[in-house]
Amino acid sequence: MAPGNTPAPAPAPAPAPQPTDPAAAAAAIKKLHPRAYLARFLAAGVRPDARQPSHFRTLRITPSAVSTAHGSALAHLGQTTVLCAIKAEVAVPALDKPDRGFLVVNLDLPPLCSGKHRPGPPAAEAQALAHQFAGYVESAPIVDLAKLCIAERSACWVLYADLLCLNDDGNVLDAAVAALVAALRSVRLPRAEYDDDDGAVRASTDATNRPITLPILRTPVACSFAVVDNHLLADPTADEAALASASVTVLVDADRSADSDPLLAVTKRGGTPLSKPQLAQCIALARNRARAVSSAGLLA
Amino acid sequence: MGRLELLSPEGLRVDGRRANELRKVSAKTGVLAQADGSAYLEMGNTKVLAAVYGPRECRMRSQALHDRAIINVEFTQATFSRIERRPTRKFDRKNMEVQLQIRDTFEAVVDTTIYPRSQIDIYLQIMQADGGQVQACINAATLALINAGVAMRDYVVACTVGNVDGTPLLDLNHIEESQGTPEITLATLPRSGNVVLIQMESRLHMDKLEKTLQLANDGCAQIHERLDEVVRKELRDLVHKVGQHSNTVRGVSTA
Repeated sequence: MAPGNTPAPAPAPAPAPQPTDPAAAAAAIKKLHPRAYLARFLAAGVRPDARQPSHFRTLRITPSAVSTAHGSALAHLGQTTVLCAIKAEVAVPALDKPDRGFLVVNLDLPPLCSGKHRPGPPAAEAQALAHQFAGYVESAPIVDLAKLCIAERSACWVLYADLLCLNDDGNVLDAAVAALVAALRSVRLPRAEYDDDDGAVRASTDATNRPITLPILRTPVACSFAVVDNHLLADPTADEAALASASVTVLVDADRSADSDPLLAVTKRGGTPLSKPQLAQCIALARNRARAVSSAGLLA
Repeated sequence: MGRLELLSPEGLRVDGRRANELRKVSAKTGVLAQADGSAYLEMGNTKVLAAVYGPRECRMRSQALHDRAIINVEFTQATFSRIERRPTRKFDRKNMEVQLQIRDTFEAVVDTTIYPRSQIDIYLQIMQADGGQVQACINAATLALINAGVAMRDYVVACTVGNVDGTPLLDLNHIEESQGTPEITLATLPRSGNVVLIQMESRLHMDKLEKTLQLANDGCAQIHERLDEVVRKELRDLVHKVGQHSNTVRGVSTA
């Protein structure tokens, strides 16, 4: 912040250094030597926000946050916030899948969410993140797309899931997956009927018909880790992610976290190599996290 | 289809308000931890999030001005903000126009000369749109700039007003806006009462203009009162917190 236009005080002899506020001193070290600051914490086995290296931040979900959408949810992971809103439209099914609907996901990181994103087209990192997220949704379908069919070959629902990161304090991906699952669970679609005569889709006039909810096939939980100086940090904050030399994301199905096959995806895009035990540790921590999230009933 | 009755014989509007009644305004500042200043504002069902980054170093050196700061505004409407889904396009002309209007509005009040060679970014995100997006954005941006501690000469408060069959209506919602009602968006500086922005894109009889503008001015005054209340309350809370913090640092028990 620039100084105001108050007149400069008369030059005085330099005062003796005062004992400063320790919090202010710590903030200065954090700003000037972020790596050394984090390393001091990690050497003591703790992180700057008082978490253990293997601890995740608290996940909070606010369902039905947008009243103009058919389903929505706001996910908070610590200070990271992702809003997911789902709008449904009627479309013609694809030729090769005449009895399926569509789920189109789009993750956006606008410049609003962090000082490091700049106006203009999204940066490469944001694009890569959105692509990774869309890949997860495609490879592990969360909803049964057959349920979105209104009339075979003629009409189906297309669900547009638009995710908006409102506050990027690291690990947007995990929050985005949670927001999407919670939003899909809150979707209520009107019952629709296809009229063969004029090819129109109309809302069912039968008042006793309740809106459609979507059957959820699986509950993916994403768990990301950052590697900083050979320490494995679960659920990194923005400050930690900025210093990370590699990151790993493990996607686990929370409904099957007790079974032998809960893994849905594992991603590590280059960076510092990880040893096999470290990778195994990531997967074990992710399973525990998925179990914790599902037993807390957050995504139910 | 006949025109919807916007004002009932009893003088009530489609959402049950009286002609000179604002929608409920609620606001909160400092909602985004990453931004230098932020605000969330609801005017009825129109909801907007504003974030201010800066004053910070100019991203493009060539744009920097040696004697003052540049203001950059980005306005986006979420795809799900309206009844119909509308994909967001960069370079939407309507959005660009709003961006320029808001930028010019704030260039008039922000004391840019004390931040030379720097840039102030104002990001506005409409979460839900129910009419009066521009007024909501201006009000939210004012709060976010105050929250960021950017020097300003005054608040900027904005308000829309329409006119139905000679009766001025304050703060139009989406239904009223979409019926082809003449609409004026007015942004004023509450201390001097001067007008920074006025926009009317439809025909209105000269005789009705004065009464309509008078109502808009009243609306601005009401909104200013509400915003000022929010700013003062949050500042009091902050002072209280800082007091507590310095007491704990000095080892004084606050209990």
